Amino acid sequence: MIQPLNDDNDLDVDLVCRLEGKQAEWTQADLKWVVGNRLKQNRTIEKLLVLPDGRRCWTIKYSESAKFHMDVLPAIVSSGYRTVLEKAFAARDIVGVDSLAIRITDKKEANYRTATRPEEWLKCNPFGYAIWFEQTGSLLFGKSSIIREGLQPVPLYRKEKLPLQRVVQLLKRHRDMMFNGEDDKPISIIITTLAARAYRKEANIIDALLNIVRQMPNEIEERYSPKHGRNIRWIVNPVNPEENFADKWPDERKKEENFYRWMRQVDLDLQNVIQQRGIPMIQESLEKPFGKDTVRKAIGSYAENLRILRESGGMRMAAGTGALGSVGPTTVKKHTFHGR
Amino acid sequence: MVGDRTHTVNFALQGNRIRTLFPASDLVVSPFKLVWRHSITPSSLSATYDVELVYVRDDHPKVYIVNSKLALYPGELTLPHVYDSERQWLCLYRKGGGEWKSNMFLADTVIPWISEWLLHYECWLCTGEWWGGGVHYRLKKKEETD
Repeated sequence: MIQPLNDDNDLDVDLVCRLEGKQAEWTQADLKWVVGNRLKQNRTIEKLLVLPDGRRCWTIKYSESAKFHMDVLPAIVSSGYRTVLEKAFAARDIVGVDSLAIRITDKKEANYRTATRPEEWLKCNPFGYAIWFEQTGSLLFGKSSIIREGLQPVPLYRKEKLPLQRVVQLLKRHRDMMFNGEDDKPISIIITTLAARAYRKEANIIDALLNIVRQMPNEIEERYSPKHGRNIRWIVNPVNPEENFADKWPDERKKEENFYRWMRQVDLDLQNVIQQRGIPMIQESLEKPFGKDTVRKAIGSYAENLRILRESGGMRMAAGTGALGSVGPTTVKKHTFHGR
Repeated sequence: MVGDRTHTVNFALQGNRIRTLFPASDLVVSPFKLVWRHSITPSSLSATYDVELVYVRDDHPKVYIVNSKLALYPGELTLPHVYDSERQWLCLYRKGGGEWKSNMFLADTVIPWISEWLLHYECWLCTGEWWGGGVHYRLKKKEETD
């Protein structure tokens, strides 16, 4: 889940509605309709359902004040899918990941109203991708599975995120600030995939971010496209080697240009931030790329945590510079800042 | 009078303790007076500030930020938690509350509090709020006094 950029935007939750079978004669349109009807049977949900249905999802929009919506994605999975999924997460092995692929409905597919065999429907693999991402981002072998918990019916709130997850969050926020609703902005799946590929298990978020930004453009391949008669940019889907996430770039040049323009801007903004001395200077250089209110809130909570650290006796001072942190020879004793 | 004179830490020992933690700093010690000057960087993200600490026997130590004029948050007339904003004379603890007494080492009490004041000053300059705790008093804003 990504926090919305400003308070007017919705928090968005994706829910995959996994069905292990269907009536033999149902087409994609039928399945979509059946799931929609089931949702409408609940009086509360019926009132919240967005009509008409979306391209692939049903959207449940909670009250305006809740700022929250949920996309329900009807999907057909193989029988015993849950067991296969749990085994795959336990092993954290992306070999045989294809068994986690699901079949979904899509209004823009030519066979939306005709094809009854799920094998002919659009295939995607969000759970396989999640396993790949977790494996790529994990720092330690055998640590508890954070992503798996995130995929439980209601994601648990997690304070600790993997450095790779934080970096992806920061990059998406920067993208949202820079393109503010533009159609041809770099898409999330491209950012996430390239960042994960560029990640070298740095445990520190700043190190991870700096390395990832430098390395991301190098993770894009070139492959010959018979359709175009030339080499095209290729960002392979890690759980489906045939899919190119950048498949729209050859025909929509603006998308490719925006991606490279964004990458250069992220690099520039980061270089600017790390050269600053003093929290007020850092604040100034962060405001444009990440948003004024967000940065101010972050500094407030940083400062509040400093106070809590000192009150709990955990704040220490380094020799020489006098820098504060959780290490150093001197413990900062309790005291009261006083007025005049 | 600060604390019980019989327990007052000898000034040479005060100086030694400071020198151990800050070997490169500027320190002048006599039996009755101690003056310490040093550049403190209160966090790895922070700027560096020149600090002067003057401690005279039987008095409270006085701490000033020197050589640079500290900026104020827009609309504020004074620095937070100071005795004198013009002189940049910091107010680091409650006098008489036992937080600092002459039987304590400056290097283990007042000096870390200077770092802490500076770090919270930077955050105050960013947000307009003092997050470091302490005795609350409302700083008058320009528009309220105008």
